[in-house]
Amino acid sequence: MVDDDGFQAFVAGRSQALLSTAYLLTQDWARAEDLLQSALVRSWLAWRRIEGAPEPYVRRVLLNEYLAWWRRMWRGELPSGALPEPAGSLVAQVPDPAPAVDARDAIWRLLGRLPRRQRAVIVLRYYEDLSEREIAGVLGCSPGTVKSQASKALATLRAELAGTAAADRAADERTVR
Amino acid sequence: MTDVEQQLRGALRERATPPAAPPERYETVRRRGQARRRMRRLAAVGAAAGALVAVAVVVPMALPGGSDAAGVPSHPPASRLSEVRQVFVRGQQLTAQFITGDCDGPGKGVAWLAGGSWHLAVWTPGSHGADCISIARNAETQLSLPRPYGGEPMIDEATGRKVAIRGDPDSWLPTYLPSGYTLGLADRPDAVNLAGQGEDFILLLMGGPDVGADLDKPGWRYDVLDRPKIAGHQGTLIRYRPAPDWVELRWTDGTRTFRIQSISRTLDPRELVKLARSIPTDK
Repeated sequence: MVDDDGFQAFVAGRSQALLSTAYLLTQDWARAEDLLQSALVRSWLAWRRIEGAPEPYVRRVLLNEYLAWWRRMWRGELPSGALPEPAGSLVAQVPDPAPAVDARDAIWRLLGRLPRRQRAVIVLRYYEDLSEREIAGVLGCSPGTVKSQASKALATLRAELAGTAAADRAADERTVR
Repeated sequence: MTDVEQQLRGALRERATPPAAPPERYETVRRRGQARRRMRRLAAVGAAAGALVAVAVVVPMALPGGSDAAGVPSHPPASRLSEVRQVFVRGQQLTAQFITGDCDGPGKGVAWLAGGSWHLAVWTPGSHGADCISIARNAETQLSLPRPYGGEPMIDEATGRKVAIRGDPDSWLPTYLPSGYTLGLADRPDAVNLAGQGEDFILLLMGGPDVGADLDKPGWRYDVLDRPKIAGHQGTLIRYRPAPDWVELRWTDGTRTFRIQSISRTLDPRELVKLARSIPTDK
């Protein structure tokens, strides 16, 4: 018999933290709740096996669900509360015309444009503070793959942030003239 | 740790705090002017979120006149007609079936003979507009032809196309309705009735020709069954089977986005257990 109390205690205690992780992956609270719900429901089915230390399993299900979900999704139409993006480079597409773009906002938006596996690695590394080996365990790949995915993601972010800074400087100079 | 890594860490921590309430992003879909709100999470979703397929409505209608010279019986203009899906004729009894939405009244129709062809017009009184993006319903109208059908072509006035004549009306319903379908389900799919019955739902999306549906959850299965013309509007008829733990459907109509969201979405541990137990397993 599955211990409902144990499961309920886990959900009560950990769902907020897991929801945050889900949100960092999806960048949408509604989708994050959906993702977490799915992960928890699936985890419950395996609860007897994982009860001693459920969190790694739940996190793995969450990540797998996220990666599989996005793979299968038809993204032809997406509801959005944000304004349409202007044409231009990756950074120029960020819908923030303000000259003083906050670096964290820029990072957040750029994060949303990373390939999903790179985004997952970044969230696990810099939010969950997992080691490369732990991330490899969650994602079911080698530590080397984690390392290369993180490296690519960081390189992309660096390049785009540098581009943002350059664009801001140019905009400032035009304003001064 | 580099600057970028520090910024990343800061950005992620800064963003990871849930808002007090989820952002409202979706328009409310109303049906018959009544928005039913069952849970806070559903605040942005209206009662058109149903997925109930009603059975056919039968409205007998006698034809006025009956020969080439009798003229055309009055009917709405072609822009308000619905596309005939199937026609059955036995002698002088004609049954025309078409798809309509839940906001419309019983089906009506007229048929007349002109130029060696039968002409058929079917419609439902009521308005198929933005407020009636809802539920597919089979409508049916029965007519008495003024003379026995003699194999003449039958033209659908809504489309100007020839309609195929069939013999057995009973063979039609399974085309769109899941077998074993019963009335009495809640007008909104929920975890209990879906998981319990494995029900397919048929939904009619009304709007422009670019109506699109976005079903984005593992376990969803859906088919676009047809794109019938209904009361002069382009409709999209889909059949879907939601995952046991999930019921969500999004669709767009021009610039608007609608969303049907399950009442089952929850992080309440007891509800999660209930959902998990409702998932069929091979074990």
